[in-house]
Amino acid sequence: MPTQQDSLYEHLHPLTTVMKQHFVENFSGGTLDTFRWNRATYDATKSGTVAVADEVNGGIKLLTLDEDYGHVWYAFQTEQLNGLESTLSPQHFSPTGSVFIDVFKHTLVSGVGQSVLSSGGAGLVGGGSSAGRGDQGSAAGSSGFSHYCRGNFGSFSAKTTNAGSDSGNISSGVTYDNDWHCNKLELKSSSADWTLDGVLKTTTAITTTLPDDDLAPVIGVSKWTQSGVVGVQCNYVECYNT
Amino acid sequence: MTFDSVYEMFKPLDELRNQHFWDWFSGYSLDSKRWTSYGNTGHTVAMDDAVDGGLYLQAGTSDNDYAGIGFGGTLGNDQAVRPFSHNSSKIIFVQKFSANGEYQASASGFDQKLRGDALGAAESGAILVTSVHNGSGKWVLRTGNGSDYSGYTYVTSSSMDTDWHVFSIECKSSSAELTIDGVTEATSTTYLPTARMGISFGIQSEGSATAKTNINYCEAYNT
Repeated sequence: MPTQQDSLYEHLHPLTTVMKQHFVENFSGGTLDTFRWNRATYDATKSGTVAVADEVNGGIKLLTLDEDYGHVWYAFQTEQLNGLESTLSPQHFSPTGSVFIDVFKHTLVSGVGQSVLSSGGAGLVGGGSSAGRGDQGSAAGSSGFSHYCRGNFGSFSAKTTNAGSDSGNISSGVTYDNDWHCNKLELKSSSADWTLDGVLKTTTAITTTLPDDDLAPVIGVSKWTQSGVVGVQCNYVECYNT
Repeated sequence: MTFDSVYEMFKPLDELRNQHFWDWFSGYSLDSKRWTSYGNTGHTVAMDDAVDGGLYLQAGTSDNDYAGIGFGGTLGNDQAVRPFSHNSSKIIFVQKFSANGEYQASASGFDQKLRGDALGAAESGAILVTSVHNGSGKWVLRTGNGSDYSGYTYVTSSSMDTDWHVFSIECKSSSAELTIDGVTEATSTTYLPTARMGISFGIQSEGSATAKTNINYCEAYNT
């Protein structure tokens, strides 16, 4: 057995070390925690839903509408459904020394197959007015690091983004499925690492288009023009500065 | 090696765990079902949009302007929820302060009452205090027993600064102990608390200064 400690703090650090910002969300309870997180969309007519999932290990579930370009994100901000893209706040996590961990799955429903061109994922996003979109953070003025899946890629992927540029699709080589997976995204001073279920997937380190904005966690899903509903679920998020 | 449960990180299953609380102070806003925030004109209690920013409390620019958070109730009265023992509890928090001269007083730790101006004579508590009235420029551990308090008796070895620190205050049967970054800095043996307590963080401005403090972690438990 590992050593028990009196405090959670001492499980993470000795009292001689000042802990940096650390955040844990278990996504359990009767209703969504709207103090920490809220729903965000850039087009209210295409806004999907976010709800606690009444399932074993369900966590929260984000579902798009069956609309072209349906989407929804869940992030550190006020609820934003009026068509505006919003700024995340607070952006507590460092672009050069932070970790994001989640337990996450992609859920395709309503007969939508894996060939559907959809994008769902999670990670750290930051920066300016479009950061609240969370769809890979690739807009000018934003940057981030996220894992995601698009139906036409066929495997789980990740990318870093910075001001309209990105690292390109980093493929895990793991065929896309609808099972739960644990992702860890780590941003270091000059590189970024992604592990999927404990296995390093950025075997060639990402060293370009690294984020340079302060960051906040975002979970989201969006789709293109195929019919049907796509979704993601998440039952754990942990972020901390290293 | 890992633990199967959070419970077992602290206690074996054949030992009962006492009340244990932590808050990461991250996310869009303060959880107002856990915390009551308060303040007068010019105050702010909000998440700080900065790396490691956590929550910040800022008071107004007039003497004795104030801001703070606690476990409910009305200002100056007992906190609505006081789950922590007067003689067997510990609080750990990561906090930073603006310059010493900006505070009439600050109060961080266990307090019977909802107030942020460094506990007075009518309440039990064990708190970290900064104050312009303490001319030493040091941190202070202050304890109160409901009829009197320890004032500036228990001063730390180290001087106050504006860096992040991890503070702990442990209330024991015959003492209260303050550590800063793991080093014991002050031990009170007088005016020890006699009533159960809630958690309190508060500040009170000095002169035209805008007193500010940030907190990005708090954990409290009964030992």
